[in-house]
Amino acid sequence: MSKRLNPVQQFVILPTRGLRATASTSSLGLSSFLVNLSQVHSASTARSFAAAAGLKVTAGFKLLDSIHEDGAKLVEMTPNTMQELQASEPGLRIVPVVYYRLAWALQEIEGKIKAAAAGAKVVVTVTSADDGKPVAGAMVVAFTDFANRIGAQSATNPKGIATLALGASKKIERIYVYPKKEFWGALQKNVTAKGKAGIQIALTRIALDYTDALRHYYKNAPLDAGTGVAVGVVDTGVGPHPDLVVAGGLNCVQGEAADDFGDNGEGHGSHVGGIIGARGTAPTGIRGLAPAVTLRSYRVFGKGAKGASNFAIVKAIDQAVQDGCDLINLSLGGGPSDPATQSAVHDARQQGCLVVAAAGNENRGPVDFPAADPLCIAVSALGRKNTFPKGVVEEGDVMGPFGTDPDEFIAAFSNIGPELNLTGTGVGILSTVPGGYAAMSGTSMACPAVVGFAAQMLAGLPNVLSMPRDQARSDAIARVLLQSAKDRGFAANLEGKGLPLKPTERRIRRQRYN
Amino acid sequence: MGHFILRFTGRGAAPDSDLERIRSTPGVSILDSSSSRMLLVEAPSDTVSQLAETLPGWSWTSERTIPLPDPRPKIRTT
Repeated sequence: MSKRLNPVQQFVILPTRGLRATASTSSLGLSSFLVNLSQVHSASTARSFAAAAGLKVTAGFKLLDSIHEDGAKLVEMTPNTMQELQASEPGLRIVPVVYYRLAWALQEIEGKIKAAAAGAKVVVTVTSADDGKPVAGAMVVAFTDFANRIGAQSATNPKGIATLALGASKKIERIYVYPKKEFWGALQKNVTAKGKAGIQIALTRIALDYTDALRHYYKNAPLDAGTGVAVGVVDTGVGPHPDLVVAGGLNCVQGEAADDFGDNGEGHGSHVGGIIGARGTAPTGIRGLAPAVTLRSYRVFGKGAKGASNFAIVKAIDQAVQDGCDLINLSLGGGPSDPATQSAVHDARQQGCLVVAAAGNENRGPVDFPAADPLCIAVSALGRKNTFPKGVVEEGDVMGPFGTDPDEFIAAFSNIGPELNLTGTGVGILSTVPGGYAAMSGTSMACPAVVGFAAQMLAGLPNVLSMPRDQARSDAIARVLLQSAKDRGFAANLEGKGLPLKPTERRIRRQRYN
Repeated sequence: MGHFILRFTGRGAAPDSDLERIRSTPGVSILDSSSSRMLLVEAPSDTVSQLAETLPGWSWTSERTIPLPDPRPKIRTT
């Protein structure tokens, strides 16, 4: 890893709660760790500290300030060292020092938007590539100016036709087609609409035995993978679906029936749930990473709603912990941190449950809250070339830099930053949706890939699963996950510690999990 | 008037005396009390902030909406 990709930065190291590692806020080990760190005052004492803690600390590690010997520390270190530290001591909160700048509003593109809204219409016809039949309900999004996101969108009607008001210019820089299910999406670039015929786009049907990125890295999980592990999915609801078994859950949406925790129709939650625990077998069904998990659904999006209340999310986290979940999947987030959600995540950790959250999808924006919270595991989205067909929307997610394996990339839409802990497969992932199967991309897909992997690993670690439900347990779960990560050759602010992959038998014997 | 989340951040369930205090505060309507550690209330923000200041171990925040995640490029509308 070059210094350019791994520059020294400032971080604040905190105990699990508060500013000092007291008996009520942190473990004894954490307190000792911070006291030992307070003794670092030179390069040689930094090396001694690192050796004693079993860390690989690179040159440039410095203690700059300390509130108290067992309290918060301001340090200078590389993001790689930060990841090593976090993996070794998951109970620490390690927060990057950030500087805020003024937001600048853009005014000048308004004129282009008004022009695009007027003008002639362009007809787009969407059909199935294998039988020519129309595809209804597909969202067609066309950009005449992609950099400024100027364009139009419309859903196809039962004849597979969408009509778009694109202004005077018939030259389309990018046109995306997003079907609801059964087909891969499509992406075409630099398209010109030709007269009344308009634009024709044919979609590739999804084959359930196709090797997407998830199956490339994790193959086909055995049906007993994840046995004994309980996972809570906080989302739009999960199932019903022939490939899914949902053990229970709660609808946390105020004003709706508490036992209505199935998918609200959006499909997002079912897709996420399927990545973790689908029990089908290709080519007639699909299988997740941990088909034998106890999967619980906590719906936080109302019927037809595009947003979830933070109250519902907090209620869901609390309930998942109460129901005995070992892992909670949060493929959602955004906006400023709020003390209620933060408190729920921290309470979950204190009660032996690990929350894994998606970093967000704002095109290399900063990691969303709650993923950015130091006690959450934050996941970015990894993609791999040749794990999706040619001409599909996923081609628009390919962006450098590329990894040690040049086919690997961090998705263009993925948020990044020093808060990241891991990366997960999140481009062109096949999974369950109401009424069928769909390919979806997002850190929403990367997050359950990490959760499913964690469930696989935990199922083979009864000594961790049987620990009392306290912080030491959730720290042990975090340690299993973080120490399974393999560096893919990206900077830490793109991949965290890397992609979780199964260690060799030799590595299992070497690792300390609790 | 707005919707606010009051959450007990101490150990265990929220004290009954605190819950009673919140319920009996003028201007505060309880919208959801199904959690043992949290309430969703409707009240003026001043009322909530003043109330929270007198309740040790409680935090408060506005109820807000988290959007459904969607990585797809979006048409700019403004």
